Amino acid sequence: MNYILECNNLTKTFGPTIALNNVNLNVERGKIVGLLGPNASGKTTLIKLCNDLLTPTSGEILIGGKKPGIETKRIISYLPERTYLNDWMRVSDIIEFFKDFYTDFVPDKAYDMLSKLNIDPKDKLKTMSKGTKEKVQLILVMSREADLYLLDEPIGGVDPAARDYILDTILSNYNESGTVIISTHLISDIEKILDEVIFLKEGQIVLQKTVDEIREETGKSVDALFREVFKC
Amino acid sequence: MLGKLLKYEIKATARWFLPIYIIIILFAFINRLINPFQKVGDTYTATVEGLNFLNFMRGISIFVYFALIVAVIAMTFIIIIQRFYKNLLGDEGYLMFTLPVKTWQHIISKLLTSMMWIILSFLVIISSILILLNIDNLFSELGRLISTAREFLGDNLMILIPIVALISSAYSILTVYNALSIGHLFSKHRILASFGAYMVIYIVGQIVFTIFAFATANKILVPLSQSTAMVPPQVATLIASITVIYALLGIANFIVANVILNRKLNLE
Repeated sequence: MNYILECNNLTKTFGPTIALNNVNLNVERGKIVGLLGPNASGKTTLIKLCNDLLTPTSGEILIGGKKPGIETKRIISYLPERTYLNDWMRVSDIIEFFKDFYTDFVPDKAYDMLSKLNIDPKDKLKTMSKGTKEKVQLILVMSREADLYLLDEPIGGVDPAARDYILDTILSNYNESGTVIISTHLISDIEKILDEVIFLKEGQIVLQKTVDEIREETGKSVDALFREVFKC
Repeated sequence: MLGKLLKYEIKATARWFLPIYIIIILFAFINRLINPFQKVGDTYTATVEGLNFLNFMRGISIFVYFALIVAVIAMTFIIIIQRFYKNLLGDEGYLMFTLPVKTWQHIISKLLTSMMWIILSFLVIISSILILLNIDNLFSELGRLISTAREFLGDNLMILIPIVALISSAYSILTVYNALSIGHLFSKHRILASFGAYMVIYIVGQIVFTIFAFATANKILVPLSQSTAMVPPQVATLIASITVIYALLGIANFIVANVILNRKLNLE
């Protein structure tokens, strides 16, 4: 079985803090996976390790069988929780930028989504509101035909009405043979689109199951189970 | 991919440099037109005397011109620091470091772009001075200047001096990059740590040069101080050695910065 993401005894520490503790994880291709956990449970650390933005303290992480590097960056489309857009480009410039660096980027898709959201490609990134910037970033990320989409808190900063649009965007635009991993703690909003969930608690995986399994075995929704597992 | 990085790096920085270059050249022409310098005998002197409107304008325009020269030099330094700090170590780093590009290509693209602007800023300043001075037969005069310099310095030094200028500026830029990268290793007070790292790297460089000076004193510095020639042959040896040391120190800075950004990157 060729997994898109494999973690073997993966550990990451920051000084005395253990962000990820001996994580073993396999994620299949073609799934929408929720990476769920409370704040500071290690979600962002795991996603950064996938992106080669952090180096493991011990253990290994493999993307499509390869260690993070140029080859894996080509096949990962990453939406960080931060706004990474610079202040000097127009939307059309950043689309050119993505086209230049990512061979799997489809500009038509991006322009199509922009027009649906009434964002003018001639607008400067500098003058945009935070919410609009987040939408532009999501459009850029979802306009790639990637093998693995890593979305870190894609709906955290937007209003509930825009959340539905964003989820629809994710669903209708991702490369179907690819896997989407969505990190969030807003579970009820995304529960309906997930195939599988991973619960992360204090740097360890406490559960990895399909949504159907959870419903059959516990009779609960993912949201209800989450509240049970992470009860304070 | 390096080509594409260079293209975007130049685009990102040109919007600062090109306007100020144009303004400097423009002000050089303005100053030349209202002519605050005049050739008296063999030297150029200012002619601002007495307080009237024209002289007031002359004073203002020459002041603006010098302010612009200072501004372009300061801007060159600030942008070299800011592009590395903001574009790689700030939030934009999330985009840059997830591009399918090697880390060393990021460093090299920023280094080459910075060097290009340093050279262009230098050329713009020189050109503006030439415009300002309004020299008759500019190109034949320049040709004469170069051939005099060549006679005086010799062929070796004519080649070595521009090379040492380039290599030492590359070293200075890489020192800044390395200091910023080392500062990034700290979880708090990163800017302060970068300043500290810069001082340490600077002192290390001074120590290397001092050791070199002592180790080669018998071959270079002693004969140099005893020589009666206008340009003793040891000058070329000295400059060539300095070039090599700067190159080695620059490579060391590059390697350390590259290792840190590869293995110890920790964007906020």
